Amino acid sequence: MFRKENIDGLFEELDQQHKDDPDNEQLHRDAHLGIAYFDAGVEMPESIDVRVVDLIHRHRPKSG
Amino acid sequence: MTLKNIHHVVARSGRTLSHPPVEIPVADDLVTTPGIPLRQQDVDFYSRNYPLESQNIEKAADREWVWTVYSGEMYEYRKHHDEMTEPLVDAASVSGDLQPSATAVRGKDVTEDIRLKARELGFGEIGFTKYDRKYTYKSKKNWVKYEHAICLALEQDYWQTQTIPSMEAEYAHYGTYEEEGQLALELADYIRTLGYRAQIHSPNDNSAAYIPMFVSAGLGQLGANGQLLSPHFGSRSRIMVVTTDAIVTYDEPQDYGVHKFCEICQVCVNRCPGRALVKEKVWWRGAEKHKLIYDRCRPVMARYEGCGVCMKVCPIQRYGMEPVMKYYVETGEVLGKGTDNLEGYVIRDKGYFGPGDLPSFNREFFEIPHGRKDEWLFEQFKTKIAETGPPTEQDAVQFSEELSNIISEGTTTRGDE
Repeated sequence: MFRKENIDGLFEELDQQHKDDPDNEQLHRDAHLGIAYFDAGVEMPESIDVRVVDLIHRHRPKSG
Repeated sequence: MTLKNIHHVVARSGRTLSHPPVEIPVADDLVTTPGIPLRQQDVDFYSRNYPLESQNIEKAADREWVWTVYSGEMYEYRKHHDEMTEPLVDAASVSGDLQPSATAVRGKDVTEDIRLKARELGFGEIGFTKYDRKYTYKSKKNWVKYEHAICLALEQDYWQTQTIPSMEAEYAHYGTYEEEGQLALELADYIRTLGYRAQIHSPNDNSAAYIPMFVSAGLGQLGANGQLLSPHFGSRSRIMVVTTDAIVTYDEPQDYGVHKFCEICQVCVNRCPGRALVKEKVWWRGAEKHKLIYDRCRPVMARYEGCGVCMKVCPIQRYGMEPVMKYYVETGEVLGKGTDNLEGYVIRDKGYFGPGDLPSFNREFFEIPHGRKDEWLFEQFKTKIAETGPPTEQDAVQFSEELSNIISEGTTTRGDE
């Protein structure tokens, strides 16, 4: 499960890379939803932005 | 393969004009009733004999007290917000007296014209229903002019809301009220160009408890956190009403499955820092609901930037109703429940609280003024007599002067609810 440090790390990087992007808010929505699906152990739907999927994979907990 | 059978699907338009429509599946075991379970006889009885009143009047003592415990930043921001909204509230208060600016097309139903205009202005949820005077505040009964309510919800910024409790989230909270107060002026002007009258019920000077009307208009259902859970935002929206004499068609209440879902979810109940939310529903003024304990909520709200943890941790707010209900149909579980992602929050000076972990506050923390200002003054006076005996002449004079001041100040319905 994503712990606080994983979540903070992911959103920090998301903001570093996409803070000024016009779809920044949608990326935040996708990130929260994507983390929820990851934590639930279900497949990520295609509607989640690939940039977010990449961030989730890179910040996921080591044991997850 | 899904775990639950789908009883029905609620179709709603997209979050904005550029988003696709959504389809919310409601599982068999979440079905209750469209809208909210009601005992109409009780609703009628209470509205007739114990009419609702604005918290700005009924709870004036603690509403004044909050200013004494605000952080410096919060104090300044609230002052700024009140100054910003004053002209909007003034404009709204006389809006119902303005005449139409064109002649109406005889017999034309303008529901969809108004709905589209409101969507173009940015409102995310728009519904039409009867303005139900059973929920009107006593002090506003003679102010309300028109019988049709246009229920309007403006989404609060997503990212800022997820930082709850924080000043950032308060900028979103109060900023959304400021924005919708302005947008409502435009919508009312538009209704007048259609040949009808429109009265703006300012979100900073509410005329009634609006959630029952939003539920009747099919815009959501009442959540365990005491907030309207709407399809796209959950409780992350600020609601207001415009009433009109235009020819409109009412929307129907929906069963989104929220009543049962909240009983199963309980995340807001479990995560409330003040333990102000209760697990079991009660019948309250004729409606079956989770009744918030005001005296446990208010002290936390006042000291921690409006708190709002119950809004933040609601999965429908965080993820949207469609994914949450789909996940429930597939698994019988609540998306995000038990995770840091959904349930974690930081309380200033106290640190981070993850699932199962709550801050604690001492008893004094929850001791706040109660009722109206005159009631609270009298309570304090009685307490002093009980503790020290009959009042001195100086005490009696002081009490009398303070009471006179309160009476001459009068009451106001202005202020956010």
